[in-house]
Amino acid sequence: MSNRSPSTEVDLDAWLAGSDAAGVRLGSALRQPETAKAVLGRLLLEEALRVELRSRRGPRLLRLAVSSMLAAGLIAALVMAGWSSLNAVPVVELAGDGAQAWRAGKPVGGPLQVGDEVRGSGARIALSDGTSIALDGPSTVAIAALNRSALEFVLADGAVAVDAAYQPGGRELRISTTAATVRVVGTSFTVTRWPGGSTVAVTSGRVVVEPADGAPQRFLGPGDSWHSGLPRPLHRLAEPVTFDGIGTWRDLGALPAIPDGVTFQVQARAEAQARGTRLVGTGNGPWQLNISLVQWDGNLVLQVKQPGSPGDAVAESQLEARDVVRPGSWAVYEATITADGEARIMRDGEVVATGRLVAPVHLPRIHAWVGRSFYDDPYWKGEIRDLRIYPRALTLTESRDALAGFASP
Amino acid sequence: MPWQAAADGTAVTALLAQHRPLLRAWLRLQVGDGADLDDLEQDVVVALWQTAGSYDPARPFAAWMIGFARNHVLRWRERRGRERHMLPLDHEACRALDAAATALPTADTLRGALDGCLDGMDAASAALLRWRFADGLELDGIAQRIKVSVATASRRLSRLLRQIEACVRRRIAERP
Repeated sequence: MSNRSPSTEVDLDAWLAGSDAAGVRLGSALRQPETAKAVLGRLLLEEALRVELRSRRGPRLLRLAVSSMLAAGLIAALVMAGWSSLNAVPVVELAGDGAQAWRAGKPVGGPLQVGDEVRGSGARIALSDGTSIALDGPSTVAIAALNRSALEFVLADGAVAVDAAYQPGGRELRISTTAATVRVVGTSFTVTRWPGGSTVAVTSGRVVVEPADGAPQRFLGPGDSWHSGLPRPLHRLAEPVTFDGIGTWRDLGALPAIPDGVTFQVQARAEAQARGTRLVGTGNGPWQLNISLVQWDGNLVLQVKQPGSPGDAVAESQLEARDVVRPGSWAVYEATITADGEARIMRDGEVVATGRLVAPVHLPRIHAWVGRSFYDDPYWKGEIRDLRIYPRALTLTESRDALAGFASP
Repeated sequence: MPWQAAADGTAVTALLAQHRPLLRAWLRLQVGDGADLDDLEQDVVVALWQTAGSYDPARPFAAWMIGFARNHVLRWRERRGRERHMLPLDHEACRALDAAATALPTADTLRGALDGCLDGMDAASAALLRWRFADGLELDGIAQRIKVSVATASRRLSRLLRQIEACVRRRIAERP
């Protein structure tokens, strides 16, 4: 950083503003080492000022107050006071409804601190530097660091959509889950965590993902995503539901195309032996792309029914696991089928049947029904504590890992 | 060694944090204040991370970083074509800028010195700086606020920057 001539200074400003003629003059002047140092030094100083002054800036409310007081001629006291007292790191606050901040087990309002936890849905963690962390569905986010070198938020559960402001040199914005740390380069992205897995998806800009298991860092750009552990269930019934065998059932919604197969996991206790009752099934109606997990006496049956090839009205096949359903006993049942029709049934982590079925058609399905079939079969009777539908066939390892996510009944 | 190696990646991440303002200053000088500046900066940062394993700690980080940035700017120029302006620099000017980049203070040093210089500033100057650098106001906007011509606002800002530069130089020189 050294002296520069006024004409160089004028040329620099004009060049930055878009003047090619000024650029030619400036390019020539930069052959002088002292001029090069002075010009680059000034730009470095401007950058440092930008970072420093933005970090000193208080929340919007205070800035508005400054503006209104300027007219009253009271600038001096306020600006001087502001410069010495405003936080050097962004102020963090909770915005919007649907969530509550907690500190040491008690609800709090106002600026948030390290150690605070935000729980809820639909609200937004707003930083005074413009960064926004929106809670996408029921989520829990803890504040792990707020200082000049790092702003760190830990996603304990749920999902967040992050719109990150430019972070000054020397400071990092990090979003962590137990599976990975996302280092923000300046961008918009989402992080989702659920029992057994996490995912990061980038909308714009770039992030660096550091997996917690020591795997290589991954760089993600727009449209890229990173997954850890299990995929996120497409549908989940996470509350205990008693099915009376008469009229109780649930529709969890549609299933998109399943080019990678599908997996049902259900923690259930059947109340009685029954014939043809469905724990869970998906399809568009009778014989319309049905994939179902059926209880038949003490057996569990994975069934595929769909339109067959020309001349073959219906393609139907099933895989049966014998004597695995014991009325009155809790178990985690799983049925998975790949895009090629390779099927597997498990009970409490043990494979109880394997075989090849009709390859399920990849098309979307309108319904995912729990407790009833698309036909005139009796309704299923028993209790379900947790049910998950994954939009792909889980591997054996993934299936066993997923068991850890089921609470003991 | 691949860039992902934890030790190198961590070291380069820290060095990059220290030198990022310099990178942005250098890029700004090359391509002006256009909309491509942020994208270009991100591209260079990502490239640096990806090749962190090739960084030789015996070499000045700033020179290594600027070398990468130069290649990216050249490619940006090729992609964008001639409609986008770029500072015309011959070999001599490039060498002078490389030398300047390695001689300038790091972000921490600069911010430490700035702290003291800003804290002692009068309110009107403080407001001018804040409008320009924190709020991103253009010169004409500032001129309107303080009811002077754009040229006058520009002169005031330049004079202020020179004062701060002098203050920063003095404080860095006085450091133990």
